Amino acid sequence: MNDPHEHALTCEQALDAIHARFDDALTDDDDAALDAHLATCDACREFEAGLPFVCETVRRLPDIGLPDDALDAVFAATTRRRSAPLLYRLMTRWQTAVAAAVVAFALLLGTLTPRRSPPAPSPEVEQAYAEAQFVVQLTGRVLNEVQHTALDEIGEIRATPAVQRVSGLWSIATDDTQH
Amino acid sequence: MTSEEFGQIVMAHKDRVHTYAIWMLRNGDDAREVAQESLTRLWQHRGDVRNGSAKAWLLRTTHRLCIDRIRRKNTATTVGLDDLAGPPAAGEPGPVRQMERQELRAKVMAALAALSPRDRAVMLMREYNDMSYEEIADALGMSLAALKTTIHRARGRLRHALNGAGVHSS
Repeated sequence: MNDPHEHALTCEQALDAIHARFDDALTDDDDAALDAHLATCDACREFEAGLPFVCETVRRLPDIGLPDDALDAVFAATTRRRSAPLLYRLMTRWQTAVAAAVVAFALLLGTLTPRRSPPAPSPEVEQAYAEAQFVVQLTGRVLNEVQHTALDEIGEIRATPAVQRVSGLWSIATDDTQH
Repeated sequence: MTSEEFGQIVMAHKDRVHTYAIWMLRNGDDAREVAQESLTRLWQHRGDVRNGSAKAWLLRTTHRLCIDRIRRKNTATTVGLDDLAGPPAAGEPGPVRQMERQELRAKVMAALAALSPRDRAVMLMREYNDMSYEEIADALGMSLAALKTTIHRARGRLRHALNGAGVHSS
């Protein structure tokens, strides 16, 4: 059996090994030697404990967006467009948010527009809608994902007889609980 | 590289390139010019750059442009920490907690800004841009062994600066 002290690391060697371990570049033998050193060296152990935090502070630096006029100048000088293509403009964060809001508004507008022949809701959707209404109105609890989806879907087909039946059931349940 | 691919690469990396330049130059106007130049040069050299290596190419070019500018100016220009802070993080909690985080962020940024350009460069490339050792060595014109030593020392210096500012891991 080898003498464990034969290959004992110095602190300088241990520091290199700590960095290598952090970068997933340490061999198994060196890993064991490092552990043996850390077991007896407070300073190196403290350094190893703090290293991830140091690197994380740099990893978490915020991106500082390139100004739009500089981006436009890049595209004007390269692909000979006057400015960044509309699609690329929409890829910037706030513009994406605005685009998303516009889309959402358009969808909402679509739901308020009378339809000629709305699709019938499935029984599962009807049930989920009833549960969702019950939960929201009577308990004030947050809807789960299924209930949210059901509400979104049912919004498209609000006027169908099936939905009216569901709403009626919900209304009866509401009256019962108020007594 | 088609113009469409170029556009996608620009949109994917423009902010990282710009942020790197800001940290190296510590001057917003210079950083914007360097970022713009680096992205423009990518188009000019598009025949020499594989799409998969565009990020490393851009950061290498940005770094060299930054160094050129630093040497030409040879002045320690400074930019306010507010300029380095970027946009506020989404979903931040109450005002007291926000102040604590801002204070911590300011200390971290001050510590990073105080590093030498070489130390700052290796930290930004390795930790912020997640570049491999080979890519960084190529970008900086160093051997792998020299780069490893530089990164190790940069990490140590940053840790020392953070400790000095009272910033510790919890």
